[in-house]
Amino acid sequence: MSMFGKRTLPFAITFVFGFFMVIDFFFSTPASAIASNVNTSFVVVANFAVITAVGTVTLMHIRRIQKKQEWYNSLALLVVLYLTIAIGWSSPSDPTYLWWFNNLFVPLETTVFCLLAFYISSASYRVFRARSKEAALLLVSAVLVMWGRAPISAVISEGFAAIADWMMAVPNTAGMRGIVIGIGIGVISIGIRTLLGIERGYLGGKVE
Amino acid sequence: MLRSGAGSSFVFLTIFCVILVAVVLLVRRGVFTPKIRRVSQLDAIAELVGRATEMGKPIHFMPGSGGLTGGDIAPQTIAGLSILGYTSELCAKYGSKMFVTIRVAETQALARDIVQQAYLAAGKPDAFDPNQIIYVAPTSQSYTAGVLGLMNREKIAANIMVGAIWAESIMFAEEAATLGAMQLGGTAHTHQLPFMLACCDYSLIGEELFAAGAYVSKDPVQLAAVVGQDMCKLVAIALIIIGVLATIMGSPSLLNLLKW
Amino acid sequence: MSEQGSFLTRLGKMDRRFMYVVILIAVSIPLLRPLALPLSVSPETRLFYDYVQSLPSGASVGLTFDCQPGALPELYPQMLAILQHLKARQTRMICVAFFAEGAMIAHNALTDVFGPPNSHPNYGKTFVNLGFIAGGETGMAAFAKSVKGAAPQDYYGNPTAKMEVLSGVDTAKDFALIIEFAYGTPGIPEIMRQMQSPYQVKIAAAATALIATQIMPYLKSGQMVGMLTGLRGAAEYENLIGKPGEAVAGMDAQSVAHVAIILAILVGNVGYYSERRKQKRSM
Repeated sequence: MSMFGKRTLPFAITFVFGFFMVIDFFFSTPASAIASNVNTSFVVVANFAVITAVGTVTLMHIRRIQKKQEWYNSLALLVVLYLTIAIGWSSPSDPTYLWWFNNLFVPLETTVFCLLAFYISSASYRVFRARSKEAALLLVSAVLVMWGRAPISAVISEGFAAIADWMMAVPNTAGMRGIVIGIGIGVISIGIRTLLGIERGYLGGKVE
Repeated sequence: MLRSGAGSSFVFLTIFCVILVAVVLLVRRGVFTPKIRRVSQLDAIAELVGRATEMGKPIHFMPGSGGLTGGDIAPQTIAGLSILGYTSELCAKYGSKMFVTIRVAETQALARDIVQQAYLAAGKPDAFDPNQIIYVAPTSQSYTAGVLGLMNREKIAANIMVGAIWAESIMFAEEAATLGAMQLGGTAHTHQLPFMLACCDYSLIGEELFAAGAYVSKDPVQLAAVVGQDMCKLVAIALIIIGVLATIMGSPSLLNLLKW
Repeated sequence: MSEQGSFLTRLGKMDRRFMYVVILIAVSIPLLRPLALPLSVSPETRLFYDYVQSLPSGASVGLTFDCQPGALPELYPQMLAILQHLKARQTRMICVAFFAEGAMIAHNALTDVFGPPNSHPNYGKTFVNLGFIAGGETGMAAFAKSVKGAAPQDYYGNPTAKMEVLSGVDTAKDFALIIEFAYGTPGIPEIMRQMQSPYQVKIAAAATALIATQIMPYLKSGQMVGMLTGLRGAAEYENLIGKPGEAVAGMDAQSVAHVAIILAILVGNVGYYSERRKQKRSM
């Protein structure tokens, strides 16, 4: 593909659509209806990408089955994937699909998310060591917030909950605000760099 | 016609754009050379890749689990993909194996293209394997389960997670730490920063992630944009100071101006 | 002495699987034998409750179910408590989802509070499930601009154009309150950009504990009227509405788990300092 197709055309499309959407965000113009349709078209393109992704997943796992690399896991994945598509094809409010969702999908997702508790406990044990003054400060504040947020602390004193609330409301909020403002400016910067074609890493290849 | 409540945002966006473009133009004309401080976390990518090569074990890379739609997700994904390009080129040069796991379908094609281009740029197009870019699953927990399995099966030596990341960050970081992998994490999601800072050897906090693309490319024009970004931050700091002083003196003028 | 030193040093190097067993036991025992620990109400939960309590009968309340099943242990008790409160206040409840799974989760929550929604006599009059609107933040913008335009049919395929529950509700500013069940993206920052800022609608968050630190600044700045945080927020709300349920039962387990983690951190530090002292002595 020539440089026009690899660089110039993507940059031109990015600039035109990006500029248009930015203007539409701030100004109501007769072209606002077009902006709404442009947004919808982005969503449609993104969702079509799911179809290619499903195709890629299918091919990858068929190859695994052929090579007999943990073929049983790959077979289970493909069976569940296509069964879910078939069951949910008619409507997401179909009772069979709802049964499938509530009895298969929800327990599995919930279980994996609950692993977070175990990982956080082992990470806390491993990481919260008072190696330096800053680490000690982190350790003390983490312990105070955890203790204050647990109802059991109220048995000893109501003050612990107040301390935890203060730490969340004052130092945490102040720190978060500073980081969020910096991130916001960073987002604007990368947006402008992308619109103007200065940021090219997402297109791949060396920068000219 | 200007939308209600959008006036002050538009004015500040215009000011930031003018600053950024002005700095870029000044650098392009050679008026000054932009310099930003050393970002040791990004320098460490070479160390991570080198370590994985010596150990003969693969690297796991995730360019975040967000896609290219969403106000604060897309910039993070773009930043993650920039770092992917740089890391892929290093892997191609050193002959390291890398797995790239993807959660959002639209990112997969981009990631594959970026990695392929990187191998081409490193002069090793035949070494590129499209199977190393793996679309795992679209939901957070399914993706997490898939990647944890991959990490354990392949016994990774390095774990790089940069981009829009949610609750899976602590699980990946902890699992990789158990495998003895060296880690780099970076996200603009403030709720995940504590986990990354605690568990990863190197962390990119917030806007350091957005400067990454410029830093690794060493392109003066991109670096100029980062310098411009820092100047915009000075404007924000000035506003905060003026706002605090105005509030102390009981004047709501700045607040009313910002509501315009 | 060396045996004691060695034991203390080993405390800092325990196998993580031992930690997993400790957490499993810590969480299981209070579930089997409740401790009935006292529970105070945090200021954010009180603000949330008071605002809902002040809503007049017939007020339109939007509920956005923006979560995946992984967040249900924390968010589902919040959903049930809030729906029960809104039902008692006789408000109109307009449920929508910007996550695909949110539509099914909304169906489950409405079923638990009202019974099967689609056959309920008041469905379409006092409550509705508009289902999933695709597009993330774009979908939110479309919904805020035109509720019926973004959702011409509800989750069950019924047309929304003439639904009684949606009469007078055209844009986001027609809601008395929008409650976001927040878990990831799209979430509170997106709702702030697309609904609160342009339409000045009141927003309240019912969020997982994980993202509470991220959205606290919005509460402190007055952009949100209240916030529930994780399982504790759900438990506090259940107590406030006088219907203690799953969340209150889970608080004992959470308390003991927190204590177990704090003890593990302290034990780890004892082991760490013992190791350091041993190294200094050997130098």
